[in-house]
Amino acid sequence: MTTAADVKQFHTPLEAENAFAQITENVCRIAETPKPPKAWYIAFAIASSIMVMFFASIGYLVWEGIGVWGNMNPVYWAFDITNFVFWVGIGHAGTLISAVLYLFRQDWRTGINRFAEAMTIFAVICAAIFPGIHIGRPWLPYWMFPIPNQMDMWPQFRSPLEWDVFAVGTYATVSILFWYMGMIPDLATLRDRSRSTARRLVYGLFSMGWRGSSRQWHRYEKAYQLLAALATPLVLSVHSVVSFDFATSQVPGWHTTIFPPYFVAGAIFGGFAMVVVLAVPARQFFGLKRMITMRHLENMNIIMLVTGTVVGYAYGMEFFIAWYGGVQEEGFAFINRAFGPYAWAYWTMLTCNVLGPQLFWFKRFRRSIPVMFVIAIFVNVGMWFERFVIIVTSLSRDFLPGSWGYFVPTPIDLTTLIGSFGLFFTLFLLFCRFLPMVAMAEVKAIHYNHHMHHHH
Amino acid sequence: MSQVKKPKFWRSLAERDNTEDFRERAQREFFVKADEGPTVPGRRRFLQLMGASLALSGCFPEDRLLPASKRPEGTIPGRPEFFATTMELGGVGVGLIARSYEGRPIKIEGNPAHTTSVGGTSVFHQASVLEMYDPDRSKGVARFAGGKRESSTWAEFDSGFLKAWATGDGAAVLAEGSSSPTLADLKRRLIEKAPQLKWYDYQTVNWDNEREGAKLAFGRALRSELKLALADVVVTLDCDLLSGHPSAPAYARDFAGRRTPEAGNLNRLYTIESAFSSTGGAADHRLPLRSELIKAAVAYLDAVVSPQVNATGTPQPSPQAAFLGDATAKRFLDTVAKDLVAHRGSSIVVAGSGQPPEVHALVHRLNGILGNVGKTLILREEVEQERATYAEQIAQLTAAMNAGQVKSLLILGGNPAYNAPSDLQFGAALAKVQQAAHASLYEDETSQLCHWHVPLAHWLESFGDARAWDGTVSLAQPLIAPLYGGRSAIELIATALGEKEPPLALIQRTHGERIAGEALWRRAIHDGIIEGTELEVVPLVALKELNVPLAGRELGGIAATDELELTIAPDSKLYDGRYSNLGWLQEHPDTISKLTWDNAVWVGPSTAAALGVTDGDVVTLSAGGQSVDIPVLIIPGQAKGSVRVHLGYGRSAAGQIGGSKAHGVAPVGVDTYQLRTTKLLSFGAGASLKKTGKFAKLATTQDKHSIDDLGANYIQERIPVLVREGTVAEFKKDPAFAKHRVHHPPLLSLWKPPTSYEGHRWGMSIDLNKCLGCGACAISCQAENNIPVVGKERVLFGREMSWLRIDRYFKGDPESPAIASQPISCQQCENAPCEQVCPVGATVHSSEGLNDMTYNRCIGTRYCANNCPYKVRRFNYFNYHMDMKEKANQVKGMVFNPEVTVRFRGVMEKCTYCVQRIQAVKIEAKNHRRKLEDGEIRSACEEACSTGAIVFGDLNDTQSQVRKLQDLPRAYALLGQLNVRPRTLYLAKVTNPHPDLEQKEGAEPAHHG
Repeated sequence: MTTAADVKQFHTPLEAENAFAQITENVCRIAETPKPPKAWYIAFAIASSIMVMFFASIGYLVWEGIGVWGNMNPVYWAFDITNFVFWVGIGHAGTLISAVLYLFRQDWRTGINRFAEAMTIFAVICAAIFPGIHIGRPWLPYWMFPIPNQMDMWPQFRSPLEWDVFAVGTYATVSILFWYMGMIPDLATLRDRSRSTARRLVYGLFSMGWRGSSRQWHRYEKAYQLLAALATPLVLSVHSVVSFDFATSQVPGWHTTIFPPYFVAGAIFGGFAMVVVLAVPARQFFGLKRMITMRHLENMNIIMLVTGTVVGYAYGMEFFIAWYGGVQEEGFAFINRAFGPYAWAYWTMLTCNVLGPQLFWFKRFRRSIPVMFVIAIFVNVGMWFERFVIIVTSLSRDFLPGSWGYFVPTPIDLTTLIGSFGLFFTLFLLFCRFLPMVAMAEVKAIHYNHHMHHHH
Repeated sequence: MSQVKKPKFWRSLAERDNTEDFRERAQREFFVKADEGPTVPGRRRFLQLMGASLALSGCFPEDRLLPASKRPEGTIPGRPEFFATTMELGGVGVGLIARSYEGRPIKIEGNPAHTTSVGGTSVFHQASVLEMYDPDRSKGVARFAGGKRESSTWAEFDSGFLKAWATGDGAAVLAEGSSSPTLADLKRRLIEKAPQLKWYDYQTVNWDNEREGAKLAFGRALRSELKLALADVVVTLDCDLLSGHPSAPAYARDFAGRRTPEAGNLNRLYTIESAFSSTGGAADHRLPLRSELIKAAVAYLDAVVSPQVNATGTPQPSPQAAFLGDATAKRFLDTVAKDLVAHRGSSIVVAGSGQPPEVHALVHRLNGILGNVGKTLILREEVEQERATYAEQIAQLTAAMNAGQVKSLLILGGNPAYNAPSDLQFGAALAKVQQAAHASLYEDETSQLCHWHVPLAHWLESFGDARAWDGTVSLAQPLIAPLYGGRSAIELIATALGEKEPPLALIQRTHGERIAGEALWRRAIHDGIIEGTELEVVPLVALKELNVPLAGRELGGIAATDELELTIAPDSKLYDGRYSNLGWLQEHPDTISKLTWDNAVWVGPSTAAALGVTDGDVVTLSAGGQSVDIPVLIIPGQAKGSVRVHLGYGRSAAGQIGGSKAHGVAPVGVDTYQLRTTKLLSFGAGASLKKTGKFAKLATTQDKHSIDDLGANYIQERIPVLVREGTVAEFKKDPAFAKHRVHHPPLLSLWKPPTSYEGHRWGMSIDLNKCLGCGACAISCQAENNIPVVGKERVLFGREMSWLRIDRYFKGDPESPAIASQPISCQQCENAPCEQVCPVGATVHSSEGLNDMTYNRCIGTRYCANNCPYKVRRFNYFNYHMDMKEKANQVKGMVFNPEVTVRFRGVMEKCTYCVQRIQAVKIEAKNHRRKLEDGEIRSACEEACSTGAIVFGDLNDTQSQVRKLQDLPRAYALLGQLNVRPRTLYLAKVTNPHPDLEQKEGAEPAHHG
């Protein structure tokens, strides 16, 4: 038997007794205030400058050729695909929080789902840019789409890159739909509170005539549930397919059956770390501490602990199989990973991803804002390095030692990597500024439930 | 048949005589039946004939070459024509066949009829087309006065210099030492006409030491021609016989002919040398020994061999040289002696051009007492008996110039201001000459110090002749009018002489009866050679008594770092520096060091450790009072205490590739001629090496990042699997030994690959036992397939574009390793990993099993290259043809093969098995409704290879050479365990070690799956 206290403990992450009006006020105020906090301006100035650098780097790349990056023979993929996989991975947390946790009735998700979803979309946008620009002739990526044409060309469906096109494409579409649909009632709230015509028009357009009738609510709930069910397998499929790029190839260090689950775990791991990185300052600066509570953060830290450990297990298992498989090249690929010229990257990855999150075994650290913030940043660094280690280290020393090489990034590699964060944060800051950052309707529903339970 | 009355009037003699054939034809409706084709000569023969006839109709006997205003009969635009011609390098002519498209020569192959080429070529021949089109070549006559350059004309030169020079006092010529009989004839006439004129010859790379050695041994200048095909045992002493010798293509072919284990008569090669050469890489046994100790080694061999063969004459006293205290060296030399004695009459000892005349004399003696002369070694009369060595001649000239005796000097080719021995100060001496003119391809270092510069015509632009190593005269014919209005050396001297005849007539005059008349001439110009012109064979010559005392350092016993020995050698790519403006060669990795765009001082691992230097450390290398700053490159197998530099770098007026002050282009590499003095022409002691604290980036194509111990150990484990090698004993026990180097589970495929290829099924075999790693194949591939040059910075990045590379691995003890060379290009896998991962289907399988690359379709994901286990795919990271936007560089476009697409940036490219050649021959055969013959299609790499290591052909033809080779038990698929099923198979290397020297190697690591 669960007691009321248990129920409270379990179902109400909101510490404060928020009145419905208070919730609306808290969330909408952010989007309505004529002047956001100074911190927002500073952050936006920095982020958008970095974004400009990103697009300038891309412009230079398109003008000159892939050679402005450090890619070489035999490391034909380097930062480009590392960044792609990194950003796709980040995108996983959003769907996981919104869809999977929704289906499992993890009500605590409501405080963070909206911006986790936003984060997903922005991460997918960042990710999608890389396959487009990394190709040698970046004006032709549409040749990868099955568009009927008079050139008698058709994609080659045995290529995992082709699978990526569909996996990432589907994921982006479903994520956007899911995010947008969930936002409709809140957009309507914003519309209703609008004082200027422009705002009323724009919010009005996007809220699609939402009136909040029970019929609309009924349809909404159904659709939301369906989309959640549709999105759930995507959490598993997208990164599995991305991992096929590597797993189905024959490069030693890529050719590994463990990749799909390992990549998915890694993606969730990295995604949650990114949510923490974003949530901590957001709740600070926008006064959302009462909605994104310590409980949220702690739960996310637990997920990071679990997935981080899974990832650690995968690292170990890779080594074991490389040895157990008895293939000379495979064995060497892993020894080389840990002790070869890129050992620094490997140990950075291992420290950030496996050792760091172990601190979350302790409640004190799980609930410490500075600790979790630092660890989450470390995890992000570590997850980027994971992809770097897999891609670059494996390619740099494959079958024929005569072709071995050592990849060194160029400044353009770095500006492109850093620049992608500029794009991500710019989009995120715009989201914070103009859209309801917390799913008001859902929070209210939870609050109502809690209220009812409380008085039973 | 009754007698038919002869007609009164007749159209032809046949009709008049009413022959059988005429009557039969007269009955026909059409004189030639539709199905009665002309008797078809082979394609090659057909094109050669056509080419030759064109040469005759188009070029000969015109003085000037003019563009045809009407299409000459028989030519088809787009169809290549072939012309036999000759390139002279180092005073030896090599017969070649040039391929030309619409009057544009673009590719060079060896002339099988020529005794020095025998169908083979070197990197120099392959790159010579690029030299001809080089936009940096001089484009006209120039006058230099008071440090200012003025454009001038030939007419001004003729009246302003040449006339006065040919008659004036104190006139001299400095020529390059040509073997051209026509030039020699003109020289004779010139000196007859102007007896006061002095003629000097000089070239850096020469075989004067051998010549002088013959004088010591026989009392006269004789040339040795080796018959490597007959030699069971070959001993080379500091000699890169197989790629550094003027006769290298022919020697390499003969040598490789004895490296077929299936034939059962493997030869055995011993190499003693200070620095690794490709010959050393091919050796069964190699002893790293300082060059200065070679003399003692030969003396020791003489002392040991002489008593055993009852030699006449006094043998050298056995040197108790300290180096013999080294058990390895002693055992090595004892074994060599034993093997030589056992193979009397079927062995060869040969010394390198850098070794002093005494060593060559001792070598002559050894060959004599072993009974090799007349069998494996033929002595031929030298053309010029009486001439000073080139080093002496340039010294004499410089002395005369300094003494003011030379008033007007014509420098005919060469670049003495750059490459004369540095202590002669040739440049300074040149300033004392009143009028100096330099005729050369480029306005180079020497031109700038002269008063006149005139452009020399390239050999592809002029008529000429030259002698092969055995003396056979071969002819050169122009394939194109001089691009920049140059004249050949023959023309220049003829003009000076006031000859009215065009060069062609002069050549015909020189050779007189041998090519007189239409038939003989046509044959000579078609075949490229004049039969019966080889130098006279000298029967056995009595050996003179030799006394070769050994002193001081020559006795050895010097610690590794006490006074280093410095050896100086021509570069494997730039020769004496003349090719330094050719991007193909600059970017071609050196056979041993794999270094591009640079030279470095080679230091052995233990010497480097003792000196505390490592790869890339810039050191001050001093010898004989001269010093240069040069980066270090550690080369395993470099003799202890000996360091090696190569010539040809550090040019200040080579052009925009090799370095040019005028264009602000920094020189490539370091000018090591500074170290080369009259006392230290090829090697000498007293060198020292000091760290400067600076560091230089060296662009090697292998081991780009210095390999850590982990990687190095793994490579040692992997080599036996990649480059499979066994001894002849292993081969006899199990001819399929190579197949057992790897064990793997049965191979399964996810999908069913096509199992049958109707029609053709192309394949290639590469015999590792024949490959010398010389790289002629790679340059040939570059010329054939329009492969761009990317430059040093991009090689440092690892972005070289070579479709064919030669992987070189050192094996065993770093002080005395063996080399394993493996040419690698696309293996045309049947189960190709690249094809499966391309999202746009840009790389697809052809019905003949080729792995086709569709450049137009490629979007450049580079996934194919990642998944290629051989890493043979090359990506265009940039547009590598941007330089052609400049007007001056547009001429570079002329060297492109019109049959091959020039790739744009962003697309992947790779070896195609020369699909354009396959298609050309297929179309030709189809037009004649005949079957393809084996050997008719030859890939560019195969065609360039002197040793015949590469064989291409149709695997469906059970009688084809490639099929037979692939069916050999020692054939193996590189990385076959990946189930990619490569179409290129390698034939394992089978060494022939002497049992006394054979090292029991540890069990080969085999991978059991």
